Amino acid sequence: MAEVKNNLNKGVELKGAKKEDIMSPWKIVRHRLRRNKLAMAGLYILLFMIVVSVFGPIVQKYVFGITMEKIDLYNISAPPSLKHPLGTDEVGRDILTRLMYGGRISLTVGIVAVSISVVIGSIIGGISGYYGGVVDGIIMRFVDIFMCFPFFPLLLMLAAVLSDYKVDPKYRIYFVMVIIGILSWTGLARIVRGQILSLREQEFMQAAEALGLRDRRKIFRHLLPNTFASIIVSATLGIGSAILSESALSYLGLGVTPPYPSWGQMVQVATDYYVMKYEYWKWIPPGVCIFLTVMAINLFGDGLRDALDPKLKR
Amino acid sequence: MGELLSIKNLKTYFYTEDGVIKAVDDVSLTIREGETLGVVGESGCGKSITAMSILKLIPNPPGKIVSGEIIFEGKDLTKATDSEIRKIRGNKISVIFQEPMTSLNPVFTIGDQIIEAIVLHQNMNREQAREKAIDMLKLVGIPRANEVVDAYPHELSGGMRQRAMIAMAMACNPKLLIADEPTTALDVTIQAQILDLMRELKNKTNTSIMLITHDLGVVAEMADHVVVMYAGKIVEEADVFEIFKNPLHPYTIGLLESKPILNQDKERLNSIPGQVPNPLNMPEGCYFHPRCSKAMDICRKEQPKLCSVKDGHKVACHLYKEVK
Ligand SMILES: Nc1ncnc2c1ncn2[C@@H]1O[C@H](COP(=O)(O)OP(=O)(O)OP(=O)(O)O)[C@@H](O)[C@H]1O
Ligand code: SF4
Ligand SMILES: [Mg+2]
Repeated sequence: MAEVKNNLNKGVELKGAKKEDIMSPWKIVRHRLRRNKLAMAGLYILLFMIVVSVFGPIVQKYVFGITMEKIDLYNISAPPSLKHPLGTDEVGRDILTRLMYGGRISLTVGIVAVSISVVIGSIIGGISGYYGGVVDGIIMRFVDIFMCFPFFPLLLMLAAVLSDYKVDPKYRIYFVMVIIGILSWTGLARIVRGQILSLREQEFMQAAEALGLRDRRKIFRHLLPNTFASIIVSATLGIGSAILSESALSYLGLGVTPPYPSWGQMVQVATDYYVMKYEYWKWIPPGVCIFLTVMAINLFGDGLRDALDPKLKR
Repeated sequence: MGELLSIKNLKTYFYTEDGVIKAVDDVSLTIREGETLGVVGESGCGKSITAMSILKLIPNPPGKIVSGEIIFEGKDLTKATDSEIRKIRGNKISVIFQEPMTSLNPVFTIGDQIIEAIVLHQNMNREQAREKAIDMLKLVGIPRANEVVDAYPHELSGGMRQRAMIAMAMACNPKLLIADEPTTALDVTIQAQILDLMRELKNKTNTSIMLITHDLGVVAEMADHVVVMYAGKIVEEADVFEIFKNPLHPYTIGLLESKPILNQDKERLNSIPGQVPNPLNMPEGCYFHPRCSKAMDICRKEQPKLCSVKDGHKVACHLYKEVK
C-alpha cells in the first residue's frame, strides 16, 4: 500500500500540480522543454510561422482582397508601402502574400518529405534491428550504398528530369516532397536500427515474446515506440533540412516553379545584380524566412533531444 | 495428481564460436497438476535454459533444442509450430522473469500490457479486458488498482511491478506458471509478500508452478518437489521433505550447508569449495568430482547415472546404488 503511494507522490511533487495526478513521460518532457529558453524561442517562432502561413493568406484574401496571383499594375517592383507592406515583385504581386503562400509550401514540403522518410526509415530500421544477422547485414549494406549516393547532385538530377518531362507546376511540388523524402530516410533507419538492436535484448522483449506476440507486433508496437524520442528529434531536425533542400532546388529553378511561390524561388531574383543592390525587399524577406524557420526548427529540435534524453536527470 | 508437463531427455545446446555449450544435458522432469516444482542450482547450471526450452524461448542462433521431448497436455512442444507455441505462451504457460524493473515495457501503462495479453488469448474486447486487468491487479494485492492500471512502470516500485507481472502472467489462467527467480531482485520483506501471493494464487487456481531459484529457503517454503541441477544435469530429485531431511548428493549437502541458519554461532557460512566447471571444458566422469570431498577413482572416469535409491528419490552419484 505504502509503496505505491510513495511512488505516485514522487511524480506529484515534481510538478507541484494537483494530487492523484500521475506524471506521464510526456509531461516530464514538456516540463523540461519549458525550462529551455532557446528551445521555447524556437517553438514560438515556428508556431508564428505556421499560424501566419496557414491563416495569413485567408486574411489577405478576404480582408484585403489580395491573392498570390493578383497583379497590381500600378505598383510594379514597388518598395514597401502601406498597401504592400513588403513591396511588390517585378509583375506587381504582393510580396507579403506570396511569402505566406511560400511558407505554406515550404512547411508542407518539410512535413510531407519527413513523414515519408520517417515511415520508410522506421520500417526498414525496425526490421533490420529486430531480425539482425543476415537480414540486418543485407539491409545495412543497402543503406550504406544509398548513403554513398551524393544526395544533392542526385536530387538535382531527378528534379531536372521532372523539368524535362514538363510536369505541371501544380504537381511538381508533390514530386519534390516525395523525392526529398525518399532520398533522406537512411539516417533515421540507422538510428532506429541501432536502438532496436539493443532494445530487443532487454528483458521486456523476452517477456513480450513469452506472451506469444507475433514479430510484427513486437517490432511495431513494442520496439518502435521505445525509439519515438529519437524519431521525433530526428524528424524535427529533418524538417529543417528538407526545407533547405526545397529552397535550394527552387532557387535553382528545379523545385517549385511559378506561378507557385516558395521561399527559395523568391530569393532567386537576387541573382540579378540590380535587384540585389536596389530592390532588397524582393529577396531579403524570403531569405529571412528560410533562416528563421530553419533556425527555429533546429533550436527546438535540439531542445527536444535534451528533454527526451533519459540520461539527463529531471 | 495427473502429469501436466513432462520433459524427457532434453538437450539444449549453444553453438558458440568457442565450442558447444551443453546448457541442458539430458534433463528429464515431471510437473504434476497443482504442484510446485522447485529447481535449484548455482548460477549458470542451466535452470533458466531448461525453463525457456519449454516455451521455445531459446535465442536461436546460437541455442538449439538438440533432442528430447516436452510433453504438455499430450503434445510434444519441441515439435510445435510457431503459431501453436504462440497460442500456448502467455496463455496456458506463462512466465515471470527475475527483473521486475526491466520486464515491463517502459513506454506503455501497466494496464496496456495486461490488456494486450488478455485480448491476445481470450475472446474479449478492450473494455472487458480492462475490467479484467483491474480485477487481476486487485487480485495480486495492488491498492487503488483502477489508478495503477494507468500508471507507467517507472511509477511503481519493484515489488509493485513484480505484482503487476504476476497479474499479467495469471490473467489468462495459465495451467503452468514458470517463475524464474521471481524474488531475487527484491528485498526480503517484499520477497516474502510475493511468495505468499504466489502460494495463495496457486491454491486458488490450482496452477502448477515451476519455481527456479538458488535460494533453498524459498524452496523449503514453496515447493512440493525439488530438482537439483549441476552443470546442465539433474543430480538429485525428491520431494521437499526428503531433500531437506535426507539429502544424498554431495552437491545438495553442500548447498544445504551453505544456507545460513539462524541462532547458530558460526563464524562464516560453509560454501562449496571450487567453482562451477567451465561449460566448454567439462571434466571427465562426474562433473562435480573436482569439488567433491568424497570423490573416488570411478568418479573421475565414469559419469554417474540418475537412479532411484528410494521411492521417489533419485540421485546421480557413485556413492549410491540403485534399488529396484
Ligand atoms: N545466449 C547464450 N549463448 C551462449 N551460451 C548461453 C546463452 N545463454 C545461456 N548460455 C549458457 O547456458 C548455461 C546455462 O544458463 P542458464 O541461464 O540456464 O543458467 P541459470 O541456471 O539460469 O543461472 P542463473 O542462476 O544465473 O540465472 C550457462 O552456462 C551459459 O553459459
Ligand atoms: S559421483 Fe563421485 S564425485 Fe560425483 S558427487 Fe558422487 S561422490 Fe562426488
Ligand atoms: Mg537464470
